[in-house]
Amino acid sequence: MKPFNTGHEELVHDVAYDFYGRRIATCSSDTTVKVFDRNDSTGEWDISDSWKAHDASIIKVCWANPEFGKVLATCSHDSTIKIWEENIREKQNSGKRWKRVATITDHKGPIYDLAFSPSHCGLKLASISTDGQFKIHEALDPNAISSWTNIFETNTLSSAPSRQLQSSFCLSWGKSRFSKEYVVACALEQSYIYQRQENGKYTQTGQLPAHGSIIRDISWAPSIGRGYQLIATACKDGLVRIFKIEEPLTESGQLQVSLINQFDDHKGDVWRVSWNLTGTILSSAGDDGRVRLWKSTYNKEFQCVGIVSAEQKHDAIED
Amino acid sequence: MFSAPPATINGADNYISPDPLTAREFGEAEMETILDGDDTELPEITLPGAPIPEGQVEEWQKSRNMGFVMDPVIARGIAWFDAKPGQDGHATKEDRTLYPTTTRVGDEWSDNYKGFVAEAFATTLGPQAAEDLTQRFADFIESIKHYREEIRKDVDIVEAEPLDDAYSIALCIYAVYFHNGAAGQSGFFGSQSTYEVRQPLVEWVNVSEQQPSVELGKEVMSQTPPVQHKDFWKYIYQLVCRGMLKQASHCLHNSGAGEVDPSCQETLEQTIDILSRYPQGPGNVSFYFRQWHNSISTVQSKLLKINDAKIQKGLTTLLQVLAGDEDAIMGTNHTWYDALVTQQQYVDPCDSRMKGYYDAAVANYPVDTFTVWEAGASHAIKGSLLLAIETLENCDSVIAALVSNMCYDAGLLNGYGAANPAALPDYHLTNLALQCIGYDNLINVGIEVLQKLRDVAPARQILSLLLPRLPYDSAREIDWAIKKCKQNGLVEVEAEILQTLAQKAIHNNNNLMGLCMFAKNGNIAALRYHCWKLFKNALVAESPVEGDKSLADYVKDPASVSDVPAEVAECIAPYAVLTEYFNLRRSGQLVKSSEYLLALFEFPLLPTEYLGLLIHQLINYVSPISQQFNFSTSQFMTLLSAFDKWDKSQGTPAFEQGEELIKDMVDHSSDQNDWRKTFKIHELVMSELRLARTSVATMSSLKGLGGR
Repeated sequence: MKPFNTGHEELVHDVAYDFYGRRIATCSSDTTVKVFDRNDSTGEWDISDSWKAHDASIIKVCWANPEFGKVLATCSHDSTIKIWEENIREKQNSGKRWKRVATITDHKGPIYDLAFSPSHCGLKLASISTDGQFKIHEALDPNAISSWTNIFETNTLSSAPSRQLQSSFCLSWGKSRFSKEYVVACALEQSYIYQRQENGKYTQTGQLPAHGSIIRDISWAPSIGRGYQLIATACKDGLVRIFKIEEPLTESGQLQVSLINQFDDHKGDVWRVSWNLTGTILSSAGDDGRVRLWKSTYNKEFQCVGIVSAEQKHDAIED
Repeated sequence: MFSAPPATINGADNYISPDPLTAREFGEAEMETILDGDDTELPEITLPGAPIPEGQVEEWQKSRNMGFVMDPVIARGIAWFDAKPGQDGHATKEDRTLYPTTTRVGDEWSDNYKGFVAEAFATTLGPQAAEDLTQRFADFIESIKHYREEIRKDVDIVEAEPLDDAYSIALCIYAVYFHNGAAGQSGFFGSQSTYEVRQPLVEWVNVSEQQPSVELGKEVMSQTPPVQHKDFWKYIYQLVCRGMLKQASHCLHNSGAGEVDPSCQETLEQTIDILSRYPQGPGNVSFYFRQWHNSISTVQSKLLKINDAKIQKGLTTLLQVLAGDEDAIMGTNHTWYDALVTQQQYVDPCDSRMKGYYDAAVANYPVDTFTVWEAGASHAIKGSLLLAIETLENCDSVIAALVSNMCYDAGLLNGYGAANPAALPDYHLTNLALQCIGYDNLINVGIEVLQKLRDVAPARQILSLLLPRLPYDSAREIDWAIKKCKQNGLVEVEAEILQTLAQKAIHNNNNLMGLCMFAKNGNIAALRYHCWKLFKNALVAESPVEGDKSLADYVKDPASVSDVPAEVAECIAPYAVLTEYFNLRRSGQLVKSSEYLLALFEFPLLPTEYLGLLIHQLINYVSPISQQFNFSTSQFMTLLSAFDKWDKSQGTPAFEQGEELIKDMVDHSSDQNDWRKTFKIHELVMSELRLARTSVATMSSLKGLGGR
């Protein structure tokens, strides 16, 4: 595994794997999106296409489930979300291979995060902007991805955040096809879990306990055989937190949320958390220049099982 | 490696196997504690191309942070740098770079080990695994042995230590619980009528710790005469205790004792004879064993005739050991395991006596709990099988998983007080499966392991996450995936896979295959959508879809392609008509082609956004000057109605989309001098509409006049 230059001219803000882990999309302050394909024979990443996608920094990029085709979504400081579909009739690296099929313009501020729902929930796209507006759009006909309808919106902030202070907004969908449809949205230090009701409306059905500072990232774990679900957060207060979410017994009940682990090993801000396929290993990246890998033990406590360090060490084992 | 179960408080009998899936949570009281890790104990790797200079993390973190995302299938991920808020500045080369890495830190399996895992799976869980549990365990032991021999060629002893420990513990469990068909029958310490444990027990000790050493043997036997070597009798005792009776006989025969003291010759020969007549079995050797013991006492009575004191003492002790004298056995051995196997061989080899021998052995020689294989084997022998498996897991989680599974199959995990004895093997197998599916070439093994779980819920959930993410490139692979879905009742997952495969086929320009999959999956909406998309693409390109021979063959002659659902035939009709139109036009059959074009206007469900493109095509046929196109009155009416519909749609999304498509069509033209490129799209659309309307109205009038 070798590092490779993305070709972006500015900072890379996000990297997203496709559903199979065979492709990645990157986005940058240079207003472009790039898609790379993994070369199975060399293991290297080959650029497939690059194009100018927005008029300002692109903050996040995400892939739709392949059930809906080769579809990407991007969000930007320009307050728009754009949906892109790959057209294989266009040549690779032509800059035309990804065609914009829709633009969502109903956010009023820079958009910090977005994510497609798991496919069993339909073709939905959740997004959150710096004014705290959390929205869910849906392609009512999943085949016609050019048409998106706003099906839910709520303000997660009582007042706009001060421009002088750092802010952060993030979200994550519940992954389990065996439970109800959930999505969690974070605005500054708060995070709210929304559940889709049988009438199709979304209601707040839980809240993570307040964090000591702004939440940089949140990730809902895939669920395997657990009678509960897990959510991990990366926080500016230096903690990686793992919460246990239990579904209420009654239809109207609130989710039971409890903190099961918190770790301060990064000794500084934590920026990203990400689960593996089965929700058994959590990665966290922090200010110590390290990626820490957390694994659930037999007694369901998480513990750090390994570190990937970005700091050069002459006596370390290079992968 | 996966963690071990929590230690027991009062020994194995009080151990309640925690069910990782359903039992109450452990350690709730400590949940709020901030767990402060100590990195010095953790395995660490450096990111390939690590971008932060050594010792510069503090400087780096002033302006940069690190992002990381895990691969959704395989155990790897990608790291990158981003800016701290307000620190964007100039992006360096490091900022513009991505850093792929493995996420297996400290537990990366070598290719050799992956091979072992695949073989061990086949031996114990695969379709070819032996029916008989003892045979299955024996085959598994062979797999470990084979792998152990392989890696000993490549790695030093220290690296192989955990495997050696695991091999020893597995071998001990086999000896105690699975020997010679005992699995699940003789239970914990064997029955009073079986005499089978001694041989595998001796083998276990010999594999775990090789004694006597080859060097000692060479040294002793190279002295002349060997019997006068200071360690001669120690060597003989070790051979006898380790069950190497032939070797002991050989050494006694060549000891030179007869030359040193001719008075010992007869006793020596009789002792050698006794060694050769040790009742090995199989079967119930109780009677023969008593006879053999009696013959020892006959020889013992002649010991006093030996003049040489050392030889006399040596043979006396040897015969005492063979006669099962506990003091002699404890005196000649120095470890609990040697004392155990010596008793098992020479006191009374009945399997049911083993626990007593073990107790006596550890009373004289305590177990060294810091030696992993000793600790694990000791747990196994004294009946704490769960602790033995736990120790085994610390050495090798794969071996632990497969052993615990066979123990469960043999009924050996019942009786530990656990509500669900299957929880432990299921936990181990789940972990094994999860580890396997992190490797490309072991995904199949992982999935097969999941199929062996007694609790199907986690297997279903893992499969529901995993199966849709596997790339299926052949019909065989697709059939396999569908079969797995059906086996596990994953109806939605099956539909998702078919839907994804259909999308993939469409994406790869295998349109007919994709459409058929949509139809078979019952997704008629997707079928309709993609048929109209084919229609649109052809209209925009002003040509049938290229590069899809199956589709071309099918629209040309539907009977030529088999197994196409009727729904596909129905939905593909507009595209088929359009294709025929283009083909006829290309071959110069304008009049005939016009009939197909007009037929398209007559499709009742034709989306409005395509009207502009069809009108554009129509322009070629509606010149009032030309008399060759003889439209009927109803066709004129259809066209005029279509024009009205298109005109009225102005300001609607359909009209905008239609304009966009016409723009795409014009852009798509490779002719740089294409006259259409000189128009603004809206002007082009409106002028074509006016022209078509005027021309059709004129033609209609002329036809009317002519008719009069």
